[in-house]
Amino acid sequence: MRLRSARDVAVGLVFLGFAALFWWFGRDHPTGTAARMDAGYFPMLLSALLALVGAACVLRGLFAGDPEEGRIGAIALRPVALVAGAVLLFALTLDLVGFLPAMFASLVLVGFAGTERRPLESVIAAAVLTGFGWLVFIRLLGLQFPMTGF
Amino acid sequence: MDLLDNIALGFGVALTLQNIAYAFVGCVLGTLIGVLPGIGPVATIAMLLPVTYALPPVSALIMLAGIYYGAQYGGSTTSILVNLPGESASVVTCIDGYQMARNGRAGAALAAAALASFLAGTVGTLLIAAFGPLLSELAFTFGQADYFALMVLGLVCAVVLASGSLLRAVGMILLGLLFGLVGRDVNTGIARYDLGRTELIDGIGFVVVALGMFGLGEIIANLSRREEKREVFARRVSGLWLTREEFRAATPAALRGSALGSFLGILPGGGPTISAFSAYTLEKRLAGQRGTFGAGDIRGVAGPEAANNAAAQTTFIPMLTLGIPPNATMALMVGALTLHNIQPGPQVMTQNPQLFWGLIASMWIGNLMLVVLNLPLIGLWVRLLQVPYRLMVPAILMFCMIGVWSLNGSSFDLLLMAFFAVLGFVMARLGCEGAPLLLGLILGPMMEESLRRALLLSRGDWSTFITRPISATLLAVALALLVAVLLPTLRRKREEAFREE
Amino acid sequence: MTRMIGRRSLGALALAGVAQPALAQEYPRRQPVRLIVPQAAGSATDVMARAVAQPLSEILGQQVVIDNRAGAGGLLGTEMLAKAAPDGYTLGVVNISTHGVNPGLFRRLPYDAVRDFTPIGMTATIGNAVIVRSGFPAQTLAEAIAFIRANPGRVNFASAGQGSSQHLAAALLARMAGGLQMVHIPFRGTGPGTTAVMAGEADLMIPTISSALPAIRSGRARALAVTTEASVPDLPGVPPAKDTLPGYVVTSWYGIAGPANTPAPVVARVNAAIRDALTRPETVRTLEAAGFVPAAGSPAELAAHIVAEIERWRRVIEDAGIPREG
Repeated sequence: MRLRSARDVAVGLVFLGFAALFWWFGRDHPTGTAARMDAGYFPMLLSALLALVGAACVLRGLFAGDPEEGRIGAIALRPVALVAGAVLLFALTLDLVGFLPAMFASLVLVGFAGTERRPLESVIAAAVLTGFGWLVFIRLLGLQFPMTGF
Repeated sequence: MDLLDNIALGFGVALTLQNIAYAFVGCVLGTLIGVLPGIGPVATIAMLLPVTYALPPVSALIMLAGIYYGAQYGGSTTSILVNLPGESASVVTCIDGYQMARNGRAGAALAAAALASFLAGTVGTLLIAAFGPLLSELAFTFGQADYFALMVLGLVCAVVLASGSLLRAVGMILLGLLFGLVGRDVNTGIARYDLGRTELIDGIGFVVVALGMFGLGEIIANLSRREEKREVFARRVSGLWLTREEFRAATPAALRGSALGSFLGILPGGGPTISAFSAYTLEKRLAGQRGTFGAGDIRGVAGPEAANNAAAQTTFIPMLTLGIPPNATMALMVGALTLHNIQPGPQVMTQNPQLFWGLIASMWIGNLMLVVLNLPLIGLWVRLLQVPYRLMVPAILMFCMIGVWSLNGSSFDLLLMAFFAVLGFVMARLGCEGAPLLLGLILGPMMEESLRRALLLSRGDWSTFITRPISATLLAVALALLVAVLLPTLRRKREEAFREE
Repeated sequence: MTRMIGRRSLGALALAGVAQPALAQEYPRRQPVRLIVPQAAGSATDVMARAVAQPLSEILGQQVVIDNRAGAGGLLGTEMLAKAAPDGYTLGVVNISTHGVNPGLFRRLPYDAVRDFTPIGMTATIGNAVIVRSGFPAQTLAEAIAFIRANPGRVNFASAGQGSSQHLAAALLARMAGGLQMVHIPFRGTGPGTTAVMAGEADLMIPTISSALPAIRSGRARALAVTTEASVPDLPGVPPAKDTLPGYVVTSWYGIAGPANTPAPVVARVNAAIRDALTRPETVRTLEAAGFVPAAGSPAELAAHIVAEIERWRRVIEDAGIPREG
């Protein structure tokens, strides 16, 4: 069978997935009653509603969606992986090596996220920005960052 | 007349050379720090609070007010230029402001934001001066049931906010509400969805989600566009100032936004965010088919900007007249006052009229200064957009990472931001907008708490929402709005169905 | 964790093992002293810390920098203090929540309130007031207790949140008055709670005196009693609650502590500095304007107080059946 709208189906599945996750991790909380709600009432209610909306999205994608709007198209994995990766790199190395190297490495990495890549320029930009960030946020504004590792 | 005497007294205090200087320094510092993405008014004030200790109380408060306005306005600037909301109230500004910037109209958007804020600031200040004590009574007529109804109305606004599919917008709101549940449940103290991490006990921070989904999500989206469509910002910037048509469209929008914001700002917990969202909804409904909302409509900038600034102004009312801080920023102000040996409350107005009216006068001066300061800067900001996008990417990334770290000093928040960046990008590719999710995230906890408190107070009787006049009215408006949104969609569906047969 | 002047501290840290006595003598010449405040800027704890940090900087001859580490009801900042290097350059504010209520409330506390810290000295206390909405049918605490007893489950009380010291103060009141039944309405913070009392939605609340004053002065709320040992100047004519309920004394308290194993000379130096600071007229004035009562004491006194408070609130939490948190 051909999908009417691949987007609707995908969105629906994402919603259903989150609904299942929130249901699963919230299943231990007591729900109480509508008159005396307990910690689990709202999570269950919202998970159920999200599941409903998700199911409706899937159905619409299968039978009624707009095929033109519904195409997803190819997703370039590189920018997603490198932008998220740059944040992860900074988060995981900050405590180990301190602000300056962690920020520099992370900014160099993100320089390779686009299609237009100029390594030398990226390195220079990363160095200048790291210095700027240190000067403004740490020297002038006094934000607390680890400066050296352990 | 009393009012005029009071205002004269206020200007007498505020217009000393020294106090003008402090207002100016406050505005400059606030703008400079507030324009750094991810650092909103609360963080800015917290950072600069110690600077004001050495000053006399009136000057300190005047400077703090300047910092507050400056930071607030600085947040709008980054929202328009790079889609980075510094605080919850500027999320709405992102929607159309950033699109305007991409169309080469960043200058107009910034000018509209500055002028609308000034207009709203003037309205708000006048309201405080004339009706401050009276308006504070409003907060007491609002019960828990009424707050719940207000939140429901806010969520319906979030549906209207979406420019695409309604079904997906509803899903995004629900997802936002669920993310909003993470953390300690105020009623039972149970930590929900904390996955055993202490960092999640307070819930997922708004800034983490906003910078992830909006700031970084947008970077990923731009980088993954194909070469030929790579132009992120229009090469040619067409004029820095508003055109006559834009001016004509923006002025009434700003006026309506001011009125709405002034009202909602008085309610504790409502404040600038809900004002901005409802102003956007109002403008979008009023414009109907003729609007280009979501694609860079000036009314979508002027209305919400006016609303959030008016609300920022009237938020002072409960603090000044009752000594009760309605939000984190005002709590900071109360802290600053007590450090200067002033106990905020009704007695300030009578025992310390110099301070009270001086502050009110300086509010207006602060707003004026912001316009004077920011209009010339527009050219500079717009020129920043000419920087090649490949160089803006690392800069935005750095600001986002520093902004998020500065919240709690936690690497975990950075990991969360990466998660929301990916989620934001994926959902955008699937045709789901981020704004409804953010509104759900903000309103979720407030909605659940007020619902449960209202039911505790009514001993489990749901009729409390219909028997209280305010709550009943708000719910009726929400219902009407929902029907108005759904009807055209349903009708279109039926037409399509007929056509296909 | 992190230090502002990190590179210098690394070298100093290496020295610390061999040259501790000398270092203690030089304390605090090396670098600014970080004072962790486990609550947000502008909160009562923060106001107290800033009021004290200023004279402390002058007395110690070294900048005392406030580091607000709000989050998780004070757990995050307190955990950070527990894990800091015990060299005297990281100190923190401890209070009734972090070192009184939380140990009994949280099942998995990320710190041991007694073993992980070195108490240095008390700084201030602040009393609470029992307030009721203006239309509440009782003029004294005794009348209020009688009314609540006659109407079990019909009177509600507001608090700054589940497990907050205000919640427990009310639970303690209910227990000491012989098991009163009231409905607890938790709010997010003191401000919204007092607003609900002023609006007449909530019947009763036991906030700190300074946060109750605006509500009382507006005429929308009435003070029935104060929870201190004696009446306070801010609320003349309002009797102490212990006149009605013998032994009912609840005060929020604040002190300064270091991580476990903070060297004794450092403790002595900082304790002396706190005592000195609390005698300065301008510090006293700032504290009193914010509703605090300056209260200096020895390190041993603070340590004993912490142990006593933990025990007291643990019993209240158990007796009131307040669920322990994750």
